[in-house]
Amino acid sequence: MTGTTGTFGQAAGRVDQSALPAAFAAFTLGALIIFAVGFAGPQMIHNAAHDTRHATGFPCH
Amino acid sequence: MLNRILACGLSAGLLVGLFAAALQLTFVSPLILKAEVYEEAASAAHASAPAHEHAAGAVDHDHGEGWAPENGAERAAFTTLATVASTIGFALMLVAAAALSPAGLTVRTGVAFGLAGFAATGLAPSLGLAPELPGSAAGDLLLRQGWWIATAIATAAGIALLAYGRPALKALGVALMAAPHLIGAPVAGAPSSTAPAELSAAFAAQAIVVQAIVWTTLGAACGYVWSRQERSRTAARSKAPKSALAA
Repeated sequence: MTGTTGTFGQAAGRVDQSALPAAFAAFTLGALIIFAVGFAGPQMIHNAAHDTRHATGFPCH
Repeated sequence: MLNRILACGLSAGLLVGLFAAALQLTFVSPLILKAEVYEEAASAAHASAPAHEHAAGAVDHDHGEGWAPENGAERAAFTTLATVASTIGFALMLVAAAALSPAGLTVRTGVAFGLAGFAATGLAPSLGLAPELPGSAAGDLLLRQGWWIATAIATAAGIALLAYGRPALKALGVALMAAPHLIGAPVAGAPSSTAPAELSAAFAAQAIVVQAIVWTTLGAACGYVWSRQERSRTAARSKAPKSALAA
């Protein structure tokens, strides 16, 4: 990876500490969406996302 | 930075989500509909009991309770919506993890991240809880959901430790990946299904293959969009160095 640039032009091979809060926020948002689509209990959400839950291998019933 | 991750995850997730929905509607959904025919026939056989009162231990399948999309276009539309949403969710998690990675995010590393995502959410949970058709006997739902989530987290953490950790941490990574399977998934006491075994087998295989295709494509798409963003930032910086530094 020498000579390549990583996040925001930093030299590759180092973790960009300044990206931590943004990455944490985006990761949490993604996880919340997955929870709502794949795991949330309410019957209406279950029925709407039913086939997606089965296809993605989420435990459904 | 947050805007960049969101823009990358949303655009790649939306496009790949539509592709994923097309794959699901082509391969997986028809098997679900077929399985429901068997399931409804089995529950009609219990017709002496009041409607939708399944025999004890039978799987509680919920169509007919509360609102549900009508079979056909409406059901396909909701499946598409849910699949696009879940693909965006996975994309945000992938891009967020990759943004912290020393390897950076390109099409090449994106595919590697996609394969890691597939291992964590597709392969590892399927080892204990195979993708199931409606009408399959299964253990307690909350226990299975908990096991699924714990397995996905342990596998993802294990892969991260294997990829970036020191040797001692790599060993911990392997232990993390093995732990859910040593503990064991909460499965049904006696396996049974209202659908023929061939249908269940075809469903499990197709669901896993579709997940593999979707995760690989998603990783590549996230890497592509991220690289494009990198290039346009670099171009903007070389044109107007001061304003780019301030951004």
